[in-house]
Parts: sequence; C-alpha cells; structure tokens
Amino acid sequence: MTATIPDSFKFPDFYNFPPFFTIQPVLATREKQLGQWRELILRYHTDLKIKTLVLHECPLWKNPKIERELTGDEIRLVMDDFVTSGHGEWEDPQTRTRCRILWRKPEQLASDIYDWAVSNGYVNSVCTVFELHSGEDVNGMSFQGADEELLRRALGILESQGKCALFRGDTSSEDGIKFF
Amino acid sequence: SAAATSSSTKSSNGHRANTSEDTAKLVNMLENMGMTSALSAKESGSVYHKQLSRQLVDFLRKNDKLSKAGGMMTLTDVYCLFNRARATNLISPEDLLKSLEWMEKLKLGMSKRVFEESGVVVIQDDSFDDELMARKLADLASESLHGEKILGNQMNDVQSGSLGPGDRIMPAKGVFVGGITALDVSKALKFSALLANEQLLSAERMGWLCRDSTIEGIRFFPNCFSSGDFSIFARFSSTAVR
Repeated sequence: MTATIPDSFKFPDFYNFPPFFTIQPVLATREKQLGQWRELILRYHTDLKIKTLVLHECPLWKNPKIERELTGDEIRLVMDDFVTSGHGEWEDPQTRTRCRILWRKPEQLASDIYDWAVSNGYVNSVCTVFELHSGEDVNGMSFQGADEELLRRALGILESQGKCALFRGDTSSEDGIKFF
Repeated sequence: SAAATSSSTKSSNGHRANTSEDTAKLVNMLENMGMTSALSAKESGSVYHKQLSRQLVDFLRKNDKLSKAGGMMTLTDVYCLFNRARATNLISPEDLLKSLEWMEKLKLGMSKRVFEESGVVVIQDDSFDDELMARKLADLASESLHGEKILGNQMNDVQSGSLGPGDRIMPAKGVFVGGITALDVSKALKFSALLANEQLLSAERMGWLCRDSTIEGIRFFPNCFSSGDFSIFARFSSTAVR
C-alpha cells in the first residue's frame, strides 16, 4: 500500500520533468539527477517527520501527473546512492526494504549538539538524552525530535572526540551526558 | 643489362614471358592513358581506389546530395546510390571501404566516421559540426516543451480546416510532456531516422540532451539537469491530469 502524499508537501519543479524518472546513462548528467533524488527523499521525510522509508510504500517513485515512474532497478540504484551518501541506513541490510532516514548525518548532529551545549552553558554539567531530543531548551535545534538511536550515534562521535562522557541512567532516556 | 636479359629471354623463347614485371609495366602504361577503371582493382591496386575516392566525392557533391542528407550518409546508402548511378562497372563493398581510406589521405573534404556505441559507419562532410548539430537538437527539444508542432501531414487530431502545418496542438489523450524522438528530428531536419538517432545520442553524450525512457520509446529533452532551470515544469503543479 503506497502512502498518500499530503497536499501540504510542496514538490520541487524537477519532479515534473519526465527525464527525472529515467536514470540517465550519461554519468555527468546522472550525478546531478541523483543529487536531486537525495535532496527530494531527505526533504520529504524531514518535513513530514517520517523516520523510516519503506521501499514499496514510498509514494515518491511515481508521479501520476506526468505518468512517469521509476522501475524497480532504478529505485534500488537511487536508494543505494542515498545510503552511500550517508543520508540513510538500512534497517535490514540483507533484504534492503526499510531505510532509516538520517535527517542529519551523525557527524553533523554531533557538531550541532556540541555547539548548542557550549552556547547554553552545558559544559561541565549534565543533561539527559531525553532533554536532548525533547527538552525545552532545544526548540528549533536540528536534533529536536531525533530518535535516540541517531542521537547515540552522534554522542558516540563526541565521546571519541573527548567532548562528552555518557552515564547510565535507569532507562535509556535517562542516560546522562556530561559535556567538556 | 636487365633489358638485355629480358630481350634475350624474348628472343630465346620466341614469345613474351608473362612476368609480374611485365604486368606492372602494362598497368603503368594504361594509367598514363587514364584507363585505370578498365583494369580490375586487384591488378592496379591503390591507384584504382584513389581514383574511386575522387569519383565518390564528386558524386556526393553533385546536386548537393550529401548536404541535403544532412551532411552525412550511411555507407549502405552511398553504396546503393553510387552503384545505381553507375549502372555498369559496379563497385564492391570492399572497394568502397578501401577508397574511404584515400578520402582522408587526399583531403577531399569528406571522411569516414564510426559512431562509438552503435558502430554505424557514415561518410561525413568535414565541415560537419557536432556541436552545432547538438545545439540545433537542443533547440528543437526546447521548442517541443511548448506544445506539439504539427509536422507535414500529421492530421490525427486536426479538424479539417481549423488547423494546419506549423500550428501547435495539445494531444487529446494522455498528458502532454514534450520531448523529441528520432522520427521528429528526421522530419524536421530531413535526414534518415537512423542518423537522426545517432545525432540525438551524440548530443546526449555531449550533455546537451537527456532522455525520457518509457515503453513507447525514448524521447529527448533539453538537459535541464545541467542548466538547473525547471521553471517550465512548474505548470504541472496546478494542472489536473487529463
């Protein structure tokens, strides 16, 4: 069952360009095209706050207005490129049907989190993982509403950079982070 | 001494020995009289093909045959046209191929060209400019985005008297998307669909065009990926599907 696209989502003009739905044989042209697919997939899932792309349910592959759609092989190609670029991760790498969308790359989130921590006076003080995605202080930040799996990835990067340390809490949401 | 030997051979045998040296002398004599076409290609070798290459070029230039065909013609077309005009003393495919080598060497203004992916071989006017052709095709493709031009006798959706050649129509069925096919190019620029296809592929490789592939075939569009300008497709945002 393909999901329906809410009217609120504004499609880019290139979505109505028929060649957009044919993976181009000329590599230089293909590069630009795949860049647009990455942009579209990311923006769609970010705007609508959808965390996982389920291949056969995703409504992006077909544009009824111009009667064009990607073939199964072409969808795979687009998704492989999307994952390679670091914007997504397969939940099932063997079958590759469900892709976790990394709204921001973990590296990007890591630096966003650290910058926020510094400017909000969290250095040498502790906050919980919960506060990081749902606290009052994080309004408008890129990591607001991020799922914990992704946050942990980002925090892991900060830890390896010596910018924070993680502490076990009673529940995973209550795990603490001390920033340095 | 050599002359003495050969004359002594003659006088001792009483008749002329048929040596290859004699054949060469004979050929040379006939060439000087301009009679190479009377000999088989095997004997006169490259002289025959040299002369043939000039004859081919003259033939293709006469009545602007090559220009009218768009500046290039497939070898098969050249072969057929040339032999048909000759009526006798037909050339073989091998003759045609060998004489092609001479065209370039003698700088006759035309040469052989092989299209990379399909392997199609043509004779092309040296003045033929791929870039120019690609631009022309890109223009045709851009024009196609504004409505389907009626070409020639295309009368499918035309009510008699209300529309004519050059007018623009929107198709009655399906969604109009634009783009050009090899057939469109062939009609517009007056060369064969096969060559039109080669030119479209060439323009695509050069980055002037991109393709839209459906079960109905391939249509070519201007390469908006590289220009980044998709504004003309904004019209679909508010139009309902017919």
